[in-house]
Amino acid sequence: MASKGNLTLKSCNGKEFIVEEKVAVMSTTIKNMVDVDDSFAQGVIPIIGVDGKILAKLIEYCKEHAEADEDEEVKSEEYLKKFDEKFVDELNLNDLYDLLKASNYLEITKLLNLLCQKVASMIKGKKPEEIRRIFNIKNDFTPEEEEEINRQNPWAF
Amino acid sequence: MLSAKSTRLFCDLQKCGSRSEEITNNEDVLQEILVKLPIKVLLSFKCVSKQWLSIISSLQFGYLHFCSNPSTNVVYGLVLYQLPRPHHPEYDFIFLSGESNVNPFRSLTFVDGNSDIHRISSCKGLLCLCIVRYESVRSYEYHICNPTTNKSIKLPNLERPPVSGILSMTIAFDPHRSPFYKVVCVWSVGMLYRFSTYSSETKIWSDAGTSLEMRNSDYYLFRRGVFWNSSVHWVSKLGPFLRFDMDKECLEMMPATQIQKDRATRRIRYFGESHGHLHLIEIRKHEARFFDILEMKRDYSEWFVRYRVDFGRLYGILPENMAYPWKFYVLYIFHLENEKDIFRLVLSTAVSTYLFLVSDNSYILEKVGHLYHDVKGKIHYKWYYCHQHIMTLAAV
Repeated sequence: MASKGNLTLKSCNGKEFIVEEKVAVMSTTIKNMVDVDDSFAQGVIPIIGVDGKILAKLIEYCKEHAEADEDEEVKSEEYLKKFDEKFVDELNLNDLYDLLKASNYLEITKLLNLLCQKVASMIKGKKPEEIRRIFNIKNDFTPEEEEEINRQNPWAF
Repeated sequence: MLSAKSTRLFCDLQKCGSRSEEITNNEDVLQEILVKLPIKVLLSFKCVSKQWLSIISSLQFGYLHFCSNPSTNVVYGLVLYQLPRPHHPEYDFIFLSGESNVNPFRSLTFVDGNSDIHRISSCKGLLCLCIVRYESVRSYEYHICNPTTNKSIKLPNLERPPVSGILSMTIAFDPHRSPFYKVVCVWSVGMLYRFSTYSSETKIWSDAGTSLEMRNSDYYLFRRGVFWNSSVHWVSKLGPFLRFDMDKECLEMMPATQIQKDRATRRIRYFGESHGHLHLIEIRKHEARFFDILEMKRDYSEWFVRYRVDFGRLYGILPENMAYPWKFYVLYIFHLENEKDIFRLVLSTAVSTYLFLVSDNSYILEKVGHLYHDVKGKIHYKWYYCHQHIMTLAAV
C-alpha cells in the first residue's frame, strides 16, 4: 500500500507503480476516480488495458510535467520542449499508438496533444491512398464520389 | 469502480486488432490529430474515407480548427474582381503571405447554370454573392460561398420585400466568437429603408423592426458595408455614418467625418477592416500635401488620424510620372502585429500594383503584381472590388 500522498497504479499485466499523487492526477481519469471514491487513494488503482511498459512511459512523462507545473523555476519551457521532442522521437510506432490510446483513455491532455502532433506530422505530406494504408482504412467511396470530391478542390493536389 | 462509459471504452480498446486502425476508429483521437494539420492538407484528406470527409466538413471541426490554429487566420491575399463583368469569372489575385504563387481557386464560379456575379460582400474568408441568372427572365439570388472549401448555399428568400427591393446584403462573420455567420439585408419599401437579418444558426430571416428615411441612391453607401467590432458599418457621401449592431440587431449612428466646406460630398477613397481595425481614407483637398489614414476607436467615440502619408515622398518613389495627386487607388491597408509602426498599403496605379510600406523613417515600394486593365490602360480596381482571401473551413 502506498504511503500518504502516493498512489499505486497497477498495469493490466500486474506491474505496480507507486507514484506521487500530483503525478498520477495529471490524468483526469485517475483524478476523477480518486475524487469520487476515497478507497482508490488508499488501495491500488487498476489501469486496465495499459501494460507495464506503456504505463512506465506515461509515468515518466507525467513526472517531468508535474514537477514543471509545480515549480517553473526548476524546469524552463525550453527544457520541457526538449524533453517532449526526445520523448516522442524515441518511441517506436507501436508504442506511439499504444501511448496515444492510453493517454486518451486516461485523459492526459498535454501528452495526448503531443502524440497527436507527432502523428499529424507523420501523415502531413502523405497522399490519401498512403493514409488509407497507414491506418488500414477502407476506401468506401465509389470512383465517381471520389472524383467529385477531388473536382471540388483541384488546387489541393 | 469504473463507470459504465470507462468500461465500454476499455472493451473498445481491447477488441480492436491493428493498433493504427484503433486510432482512427476513435473519432475523438482522429479529430485531435486532424485539427493539427493545415487546411490545404485537410482538403486533400477529404477523399480518404466517408468518416474523414464527414469530420473535416463538419461545422464543429471547422470551428475547432480555427480555435486551435489562430495563426491560420492570416490574409493570404486579395481577390480582385471588378463588377459587373458578365461572363468573365476570372479574377486577379495579389499574394500577401505564404510562398505559393498559385491562385487559390480557378475562377469565381461557385454557382451552376447560366449566371453571373452581380455583387460581392466578403468577411473573413466567406463571400456573400448576389447572382444574376439569365433564364427566360432575369432573376437575382443570394448565395454564401466558402472559396476555400468550394461550398456554397443559396440563402432563403426574405418573406418581404420582393428580391428587387433589396439594396444590399452584407455578411458578418466573426470566427473567434462563433462558427455561424449572419447577413444583414437593407431593403426599401415606400419611402423607407428597412433592415433584416439572417443567421446561419437558425436559418431564418427576421425583420429588425428599424426603419430609416430613404435618400438618394448614393447617399448611404449600403453596398460597401464593412463588418468590424460586431457591427456592419456604412459610410455616406452626404449624411451620417451608420452601423448595424449584429448582436443587438439594431441600427445605430456612428461618428462621421466633416464634409469639406467647398465640396458637396465626401470623396471616399478607402473604407475597410483589417486585423481588427477599421480604416477610412478621404480625399480632403486637391492640392493637399498629404493624406490621412483614419481609424475608428472601438468605443465609437471618434475617427482619429492613425497615419499621415506625405504625397511628395510617395510620388518620389512611384516609378510613374504622376501629374497630380490621387492618380492611384488604395486597395487595402493593413499592419502586422509585430510591426506596429509600419503601415502597409496595397496601391494600384495605371501601370502596376504595389505594396507600399510606410513608417516615419522610410517609404518603401514593392511591386506585387500585374493586374487586369482594359485596352485603354484604365485602372479598374478600387477598394470595393477588393476582398481579403482567408483560408477557412467554415461551413456555409
